[in-house]
Amino acid sequence: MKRNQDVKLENLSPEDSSWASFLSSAAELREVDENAAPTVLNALKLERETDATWANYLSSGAVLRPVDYASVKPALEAVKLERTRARKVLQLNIMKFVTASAAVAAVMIGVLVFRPASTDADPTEAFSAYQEASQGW
Amino acid sequence: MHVFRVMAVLLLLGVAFAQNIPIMPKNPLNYLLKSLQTEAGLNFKGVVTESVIFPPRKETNQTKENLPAPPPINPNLLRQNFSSSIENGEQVAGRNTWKITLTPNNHDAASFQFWIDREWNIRLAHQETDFNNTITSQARFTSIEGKPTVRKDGRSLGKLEFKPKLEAFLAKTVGDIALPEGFRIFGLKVRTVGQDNQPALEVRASNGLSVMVLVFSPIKTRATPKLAMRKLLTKNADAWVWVIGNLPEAQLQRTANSVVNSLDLTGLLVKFNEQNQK
Repeated sequence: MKRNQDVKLENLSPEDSSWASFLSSAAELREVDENAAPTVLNALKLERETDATWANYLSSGAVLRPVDYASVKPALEAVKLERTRARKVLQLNIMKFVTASAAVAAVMIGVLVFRPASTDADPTEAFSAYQEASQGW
Repeated sequence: MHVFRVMAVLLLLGVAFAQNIPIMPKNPLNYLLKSLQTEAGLNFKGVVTESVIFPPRKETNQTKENLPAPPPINPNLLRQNFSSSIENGEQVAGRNTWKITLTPNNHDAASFQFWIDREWNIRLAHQETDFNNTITSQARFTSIEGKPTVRKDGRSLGKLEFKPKLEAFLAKTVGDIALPEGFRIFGLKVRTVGQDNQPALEVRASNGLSVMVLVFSPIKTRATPKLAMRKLLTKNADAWVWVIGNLPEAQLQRTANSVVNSLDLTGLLVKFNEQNQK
C-alpha cells in the first residue's frame, strides 16, 4: 500500500480521485495490480484530455487482471466476429464476381461459336481471281 | 562513200558474229514474245527473290526457284496499247541482259520491264509498275543452276483471243461495261465465292498484257486499294460487282458503275451455261 501513496491523488479530479481511492482500497490487489493502477488512471486522464481512444488504454493494459481481460474479451470476440463476417462477405462477393464472369464468358464463347457465318467474301478471294487470270502458263 | 560504209557495217557485224556477241534485237515486242515462247519450252531454275505488293498476299517478299509466269498476252492488243523500247540491261545473276520496257498508251495502266538473257533468250527478271510509278511486283534471279534444258510437259505461253460473241453476250446481259481505255473482254467463267461456295460469274479483260477482272457475286466483299465494288439493284436476290485491276480506284469504280443496275445474277448464270452449251 505504500506504493499507492506515491500516486499523487491531490492532483486528480474528484472523480478520478474516487477511482484511485477505489483501486487503492482494494486490499486484495497484488503488487502488479498496484503497479497497474497509475496506468489506469493515466489512461483515464489521457482519454479525457487528448480524446485518446480505448486502444491506448487496452494496449497499455498488459498488466490487467483476468477480470479485466474478461471484460475486454467480448469486445475482442466482437472484433473477431466482425472480421469473420467481413471476410465471408468478401468471399461471397468474389464468388459472385467469378460466377458472373464465367456466365459472361460462356455467353461470349457461345456467341463466337454459334454465330452465323459472315456472308461477306474476303478481299483475298477477289485478288485470287486476279492472280488466276494473270497466269500466262 | 556508200561502199565504205556498207563494208564498215559488214566488218562490225562480222566481228560481232565472230566473237559471238548478240546483236540488240530491232523489234522489242517481237523479241519479247519470242523469248516468252522460248522460256515456256525450257526448264531451268535458281534462286529468285520476289516482291509483290499487288495483288496483295500474306508475305510480300518470297524466295522461289523460278520467276512467276508472265501474264497471258494478246500480241495485237499489246502492239496497239504499248510502246516498247530495248536497251542494254544490267547483269542479272551474273548474266548479260537486254532490258525491254513496255509503256502503256493509257497512263492509268501498269507498265512492264523485262530483263532477257542475251544468250538463252529467257527472262531473268521482270518488274511491274503502276500508274503512280510504284513497283507493284518484281522478281529477279540472284543465281541460276546450270543451263536451261528442254521441258517435257509441253508448256506454252497463254495467248488471249478476241471473243466477239462473248462481248455481245455481256453487252446484252449486263450492258456495255465501261472498261479502261485499251482493255477488252477475253474470258468468262463461273467461280465460287464466300464460305458457302456460292456461284459467281467472273469476267476477264486485258489490254494485251495487264489483266483486269470483274466478278458478279451474290455476296459483297470489302473495298480495298485496287478493288472497287458496287451493289446492284436486283429484285430477287442481292448481287454485287467487284472490279480488280492494277489501275486507279476511280477508274475501277467507273467500270463498276457502268454495269446495269437491275442485274439478275441467277438468270445471268443460267444464260451463261446455255451459251456455253451451244
